[in-house]
Amino acid sequence: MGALLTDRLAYVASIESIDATAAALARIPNEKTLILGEYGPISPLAVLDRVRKSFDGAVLLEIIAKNKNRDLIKSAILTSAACGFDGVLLASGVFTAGGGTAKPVYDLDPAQMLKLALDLRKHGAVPESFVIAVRSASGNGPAELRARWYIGEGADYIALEKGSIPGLEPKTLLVEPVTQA
Amino acid sequence: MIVTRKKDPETVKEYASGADKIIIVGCSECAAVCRTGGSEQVREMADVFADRKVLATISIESPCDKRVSARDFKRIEEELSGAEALIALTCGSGAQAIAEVTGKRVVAALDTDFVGMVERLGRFFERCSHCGDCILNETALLCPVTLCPKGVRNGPCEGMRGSRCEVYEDRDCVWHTIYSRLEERGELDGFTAYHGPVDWTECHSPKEAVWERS
Repeated sequence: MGALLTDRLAYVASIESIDATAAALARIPNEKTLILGEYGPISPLAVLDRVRKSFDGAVLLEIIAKNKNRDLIKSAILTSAACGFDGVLLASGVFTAGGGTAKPVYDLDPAQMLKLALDLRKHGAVPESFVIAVRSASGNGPAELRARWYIGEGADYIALEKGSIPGLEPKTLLVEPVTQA
Repeated sequence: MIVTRKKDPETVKEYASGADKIIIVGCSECAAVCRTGGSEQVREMADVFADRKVLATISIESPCDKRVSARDFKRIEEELSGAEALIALTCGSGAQAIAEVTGKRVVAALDTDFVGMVERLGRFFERCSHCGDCILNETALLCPVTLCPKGVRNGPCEGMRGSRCEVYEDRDCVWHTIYSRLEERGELDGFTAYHGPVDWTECHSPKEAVWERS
């Protein structure tokens, strides 16, 4: 099981330029956890080394199902661990991202991604300390029931953009977007 | 029912370029209901090709059924033998069946959209994605693979805003509706029943259903 020292996630949704992203991240306090998202043209895998030079906190990779089938999702989880990410944040991904003209994939949903990631960790394909978190909605019955299911299945955390889910506060991370120049 | 849309008539004429002797083929089932391939649309298409020789017009009950197409084309055998192109006001399956049955050049005059539920004329809704792995009995008879733009089989996703869908902001998230229905029935325990990924070894195109002879 993975654990983080903070419930605040500094979120970079897209990387347009390695230099600009590195400059923005240099301003983030080390006690926060950083999430690098996949919405931009540059893969977060490409900036991890630069980030590590100026940031000592945990860094998670956000893996979205929108553009990947299960084979690539598995590859992304394994590659992120091999490259030195401290964990992953699993999400379905914004449907209209990228202009919306590409065929969306959505081969797996977040629940299925979670099962896949947990299985990889259980079998030692990623470290025991590798954090597995899942994005969730909040504020209504179905979202809360699903979030409880994520935690019950073994997710280390759920990540919310706002609000909270009663009883899951110790397992909740709050996503705070980072502004880039 | 298979829901279709008309292609631009000028585009259809371009696809039929070089063919002077034409037969217009309609569908008196799905395309007729959609008003894309009924007898009225067949007449309209004949007008579009008024500058060429329209040898015949024909409405076939189910052009996608090769047996029916073969039977009906026998009624216009002579015209068919002289035709240089058939304009198919049918779904894609119908157009291909006509091509296989006649061996003629066929121009597809419609775009095939989806298999739809008919509420009334002019109101067609997609309810099934024919994924081959039906979970309707566990989701209060609402198909999340079709009614969720992301096809999330274990929802809702993180994009839900209140009860609304992330993609269609004027619609409820189907998982919110599934939750409500299950709650009404006292079956909320089933909401988080896990649905595994679709096994695509069984679900990819082209699909076939061929009965074994007994």
